[in-house]
Amino acid sequence: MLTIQYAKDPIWNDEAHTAIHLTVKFVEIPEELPFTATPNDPMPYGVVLYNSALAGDYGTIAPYVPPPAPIPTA
Amino acid sequence: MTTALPAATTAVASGATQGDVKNWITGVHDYLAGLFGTTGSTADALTALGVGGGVSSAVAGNGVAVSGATGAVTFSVSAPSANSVGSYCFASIQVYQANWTFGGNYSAGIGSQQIQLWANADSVTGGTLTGSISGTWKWMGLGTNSSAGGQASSAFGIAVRVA
Repeated sequence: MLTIQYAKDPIWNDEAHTAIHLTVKFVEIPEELPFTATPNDPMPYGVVLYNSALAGDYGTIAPYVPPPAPIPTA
Repeated sequence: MTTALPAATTAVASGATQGDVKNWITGVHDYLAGLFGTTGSTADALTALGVGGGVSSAVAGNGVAVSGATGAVTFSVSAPSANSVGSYCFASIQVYQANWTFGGNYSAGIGSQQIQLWANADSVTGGTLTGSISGTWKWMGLGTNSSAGGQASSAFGIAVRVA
């Protein structure tokens, strides 16, 4: 089980607001990781991250940014 | 507490007194107690010697099955539960003209540089494809090294959850 050291930069991960994108540092992993937190994550720390982000513990959640439209192929 | 073994000559010297012998016996007692403990139990003696302990029970984990909790236990690999750390999925990564890396870590989702579940379904009748993933996933498919960014909009491969 991983241990959350800190999390930052919350962004809504989709338009329906079902998931939150975070940058997370775990104690057991040397580098920061991009992480998608959801309320139904089977990993308990994922749910903790989601609820904490929702509560504003990592700052205001930035709006969802849709991906760029794919460039049509010839 | 560590007690050194007293010299034998203390007890057998020609001038040894009764008190010397008693002290010698006490010294030997303390030496043995320090080495083996005082209960007479083999397990306690091994612990006192520093060779006790070790594996005494086995518990199944995510992706690891055990044949029993104690005794001669066989460990075997089993499938981890879906979307848990250590699980794999058939995935697509949305790249939108950006580079992506074999062995790189990506979050889950439908955005750029994110990994999502994928199925090669030719048609779905009476419903829609369902399923989503959470956390951080390591992309185990080909990457690109183009300085201008990959020219594909998406790629398909295997991913494993790492956090």
